[in-house]
Amino acid sequence: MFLGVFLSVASCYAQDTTIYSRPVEEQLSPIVKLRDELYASPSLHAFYRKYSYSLLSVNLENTKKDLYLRQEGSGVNSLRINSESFTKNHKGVSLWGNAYYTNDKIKQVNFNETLDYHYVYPYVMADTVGGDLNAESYYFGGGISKLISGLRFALQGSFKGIQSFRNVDPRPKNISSDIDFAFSIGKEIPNNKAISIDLNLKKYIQNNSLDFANELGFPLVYHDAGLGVYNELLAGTRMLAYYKGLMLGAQLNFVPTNLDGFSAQIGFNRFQLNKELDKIADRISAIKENRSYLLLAYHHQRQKNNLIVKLKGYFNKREGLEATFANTGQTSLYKVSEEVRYTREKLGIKFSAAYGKAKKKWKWFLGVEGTFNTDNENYFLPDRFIDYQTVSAGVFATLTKPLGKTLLNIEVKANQLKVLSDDYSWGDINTKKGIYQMLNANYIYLTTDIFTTNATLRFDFPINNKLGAFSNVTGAYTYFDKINKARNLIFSLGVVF
Amino acid sequence: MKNVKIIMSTLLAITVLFNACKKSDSERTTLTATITIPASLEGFTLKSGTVTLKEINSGRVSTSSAIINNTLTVALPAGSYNIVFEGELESTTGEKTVSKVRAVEDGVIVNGPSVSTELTLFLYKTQENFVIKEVFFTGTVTPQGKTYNGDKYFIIYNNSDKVLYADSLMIAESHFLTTTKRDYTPDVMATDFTTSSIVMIPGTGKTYPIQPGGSITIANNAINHLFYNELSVDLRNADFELTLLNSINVDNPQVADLENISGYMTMHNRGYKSYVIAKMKGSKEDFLTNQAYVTGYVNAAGNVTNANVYKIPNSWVLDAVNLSVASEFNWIVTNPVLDMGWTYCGKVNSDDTRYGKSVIRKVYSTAPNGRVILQDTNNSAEDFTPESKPSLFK
Repeated sequence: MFLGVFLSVASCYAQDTTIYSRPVEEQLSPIVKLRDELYASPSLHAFYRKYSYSLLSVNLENTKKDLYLRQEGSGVNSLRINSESFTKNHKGVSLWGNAYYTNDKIKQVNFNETLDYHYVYPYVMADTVGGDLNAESYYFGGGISKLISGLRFALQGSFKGIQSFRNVDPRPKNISSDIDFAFSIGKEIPNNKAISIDLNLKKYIQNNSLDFANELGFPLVYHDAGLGVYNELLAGTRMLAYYKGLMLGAQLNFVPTNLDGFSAQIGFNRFQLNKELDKIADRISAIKENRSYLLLAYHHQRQKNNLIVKLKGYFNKREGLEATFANTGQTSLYKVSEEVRYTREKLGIKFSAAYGKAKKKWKWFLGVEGTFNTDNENYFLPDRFIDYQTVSAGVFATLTKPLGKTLLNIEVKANQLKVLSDDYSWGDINTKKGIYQMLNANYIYLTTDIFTTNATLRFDFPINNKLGAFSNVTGAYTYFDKINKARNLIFSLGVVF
Repeated sequence: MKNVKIIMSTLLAITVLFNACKKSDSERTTLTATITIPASLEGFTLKSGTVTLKEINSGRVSTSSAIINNTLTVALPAGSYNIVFEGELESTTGEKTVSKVRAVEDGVIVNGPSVSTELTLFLYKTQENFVIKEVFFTGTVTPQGKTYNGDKYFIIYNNSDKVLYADSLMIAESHFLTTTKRDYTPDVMATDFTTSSIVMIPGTGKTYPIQPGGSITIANNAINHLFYNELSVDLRNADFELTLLNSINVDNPQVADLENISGYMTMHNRGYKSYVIAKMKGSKEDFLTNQAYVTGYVNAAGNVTNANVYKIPNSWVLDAVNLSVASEFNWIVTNPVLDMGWTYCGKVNSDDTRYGKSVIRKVYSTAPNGRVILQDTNNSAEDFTPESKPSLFK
């Protein structure tokens, strides 16, 4: 019924239009989606698309997972209002920007009362109760690049603010700000090539507080130190934590300026984050993470044939330093020592390839992808670990076809992930404790084979010569095993101009 | 292609470098603990013993009996340790006698290459006398979810094989909190128990005989609390009741009142205070005159905070129980000779699971005549079952 109504509306609007939007076709191409990452360098961003565009969209998303990481929740109901713009001018200035607002209800977040788990893990404030969490995000970002004396100089910056809260016990109230800044210099070299170097800086802050309204009392609040271990001296009623992070990074880039040829990207980031608690002078824990990555690709874009072959690899090493304290009986605890107690090493390799052909009345794309990942997470004293390796293979196909003045885009994907090996150990925990069950649930999630199918249906129709509208429905169904499934549904409406 | 090789080699080198830095184990500190026999135990030598080391951040416990020449040397991860020695001394002259001894040293900071500490022994000798059998200090919750406080109680038990008289038996609540350690001056803990809330069973000396294995119940308010809170208890059969603040006191004329020696025994419902039972020596007036003193500490503003308190000599104390909660515990507020551990209801400050629970002393054995003997090792952590269902509740 929805499609019927939509096609009618689209058809009415399409009566008065004559020009079909090329930027839309560019955005729909899976080859362009794979290629965009190669042109992420601010000074090379001017080359990343052939056409300038602006976009405004509203997205509704619903996700529900039977297996999930307890700290991240079982799914989300999300509203997102998104706008982005790219103005290309090779000879002078290029500008781009992005802003969005999201309103999320994150379901069943347990053993974590802190925001931005991917940044702060494993050092979250936690209790065994948890529950649904409300969150709002605001993001503003943009960049500018300018050609000066044969060099392209670029600045790029963004701010992301999130607040999360819950209106029943336990009541976290968290605010985080994430500020990114990048400076980049690029140079075009002969044969339609360009190189650049980027310097990246991130400043991250979070105020994490927890409260209980129940006048009878509340459960144990603790500060996770990794794999369910926590400092007994800090557990109890310390419900105000501060996170302060800083990331420095550098990236080298090599790309063709005509989107045709070999690309390479290599980078290194170092992220440090300190966690402090109210009324304790010294930090209680710190994260030091090094990430190195490499991206190699070959792509060409002709009028009728398009191709991309991409290989991406990364190595991530996160170390967690944990302080021990002496209870001198005074207001503040006395720091005794600090040492590495937590490590996590992740290695990932991803291969993607896609080929597309433009026919007179339609375009089609076929692609394959494969991944290999290892993940080794350790805590020392008591010794606990999770170690697993996965491999995955997938195929995808896209068909783009004009229906009158309306453009229909259909995309289907299928991916099978297999766990090659897995092992764990946390034998020191009482099996009746919630932490034991949490670790087991997370382990099952991380080490279960996954088959995912995904389908997208999108209609684009011009409203006038400069304005187009679109509607997009994406559904994904994940099969873990006979009992456990996951599903994701996204509905989007927007305009492109 | 040459560029690709260079890039791949760089990435590989970075990966190898990171892996080479991988930390495989934690550094250790050598702790040397010297076990010292005090001058008062001259003529004795250490026969055997075990040292228990608990790291208070991780809760990790390790034990060792490898004591050579009164010294234990052990490699430990850095941290803050509570160390307990339990063992036996043997006389070196005359008839060979063996005495049980203990030593306690809290908050030993272990860090760096090596650390040393001293464990000074004291004699550990339990006596058959009155013991604290149960303390119900948490109160209850009504079906409507409101706290209800008037139904707390103590049970004192005759753990000996002879009739004891409860006359002049004091129950005293610690002035200090087990959750807030301060440098109090003067520091009298080695010789006395500091209190500001003391109640006493009246009598002439032979008024209240308690049979072996018998007990007395001392209620906050000795009334039928079930009338007000169906989740509470009927305490009309208590042997004694406290006289509380006027605003919360309900007097049952059928039940004898305890005499308030100092303050009111309100009983801390989160379990931050400790209790002793002791026999009054002399008159109440003499006690209030001779045992009064001023305790003080330097507060956060740099000023001295004083309080008027009383000290009960450790030699008067028959039994003690330290109470605390794990998340807030700082120190025990008795000399370890009286009690070297602590028990609890609730694991965190304001733990909502603590209501309707009490601490109950464990049964050690049953005598041939059927008399139950309760466990009394002067270590509340071992002697009491924490978070128990109160024995008077149905």
